[in-house]
Amino acid sequence: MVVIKNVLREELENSLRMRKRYEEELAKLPKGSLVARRIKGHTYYYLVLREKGAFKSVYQGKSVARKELQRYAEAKEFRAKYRKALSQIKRQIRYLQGALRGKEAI
Amino acid sequence: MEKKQYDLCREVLRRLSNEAVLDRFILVGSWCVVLYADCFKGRGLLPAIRTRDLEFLVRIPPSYRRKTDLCELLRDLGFVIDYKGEEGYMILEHPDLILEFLVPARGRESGKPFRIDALGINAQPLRFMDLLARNPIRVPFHDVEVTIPHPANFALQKLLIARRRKQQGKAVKDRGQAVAILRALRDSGESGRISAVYRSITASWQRTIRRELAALGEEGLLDLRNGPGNPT
Repeated sequence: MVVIKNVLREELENSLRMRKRYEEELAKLPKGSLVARRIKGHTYYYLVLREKGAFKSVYQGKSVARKELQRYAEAKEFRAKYRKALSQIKRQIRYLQGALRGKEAI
Repeated sequence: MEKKQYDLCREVLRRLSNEAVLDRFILVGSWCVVLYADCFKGRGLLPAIRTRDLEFLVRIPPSYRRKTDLCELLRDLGFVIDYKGEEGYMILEHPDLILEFLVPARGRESGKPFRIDALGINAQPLRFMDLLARNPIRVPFHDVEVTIPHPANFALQKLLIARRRKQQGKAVKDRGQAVAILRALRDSGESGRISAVYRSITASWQRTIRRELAALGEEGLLDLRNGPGNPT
């Protein structure tokens, strides 16, 4: 029994630490997403994001550096990955806390 | 074993193998028991209860043909870098797997992380790791070959570290794994291998192992009747 409890406790510590790390990584990513809009045959770039719960679209110009486009594309990809990871970690935390919250002292 | 975790482990090993990094690593820790269980099929060795840690012992000197940024190599799988303990040992974390890097501790214990610039990581120096690096074996793990410690070395190392554990639960787990593996070796007719490893280690380590086995009532697992070096 002591082995199982020890493993569960260690895993809970791991998940709590991981939650913090993934939240930090998410905060580091550039906010919003760069989108290209076709208006009357011309392409215009906008940064779309949510601020204080409201949708916002900020004009970026007729062209954006390829590096910048890549940066936002990568951020979008990692944001999705990290959010998925975070949701999995939160489920783990709930499960582990529940498992450790028995009648016996832990 | 959870399929997602198993698949991620496979992918990590495959990538390390493609970069010729895996050859310099020895997989240690509880994942070895999973692989031993395959080797000792039908001998009653069950995969151990374990955490998500996937621990690699890095052979030193860590000579690599070219630089490989391990963090970048695994980043798209969703791994993030974190640092453990006061000394800042690097770990790569994922909700399903935590990668840790270890090296044998040499000389006085400083506890400082061992830098491996060629891989862009640091490793934690630990005692008794040398024993795991002696006579390693190679076993297939799907499409790659993984180097793991010989089961006899693994089991005796577990007995050596059990007493040093601060957490009682970990010590119990170490002893349980050691005894299960030693029994599986004995039942496979490989007691001679246990004796050979036992005879290769220092007298003080031998004493610790004898003491541990005696406390567990398992002295019989150390069959030293054949050959020199019987304990007094």
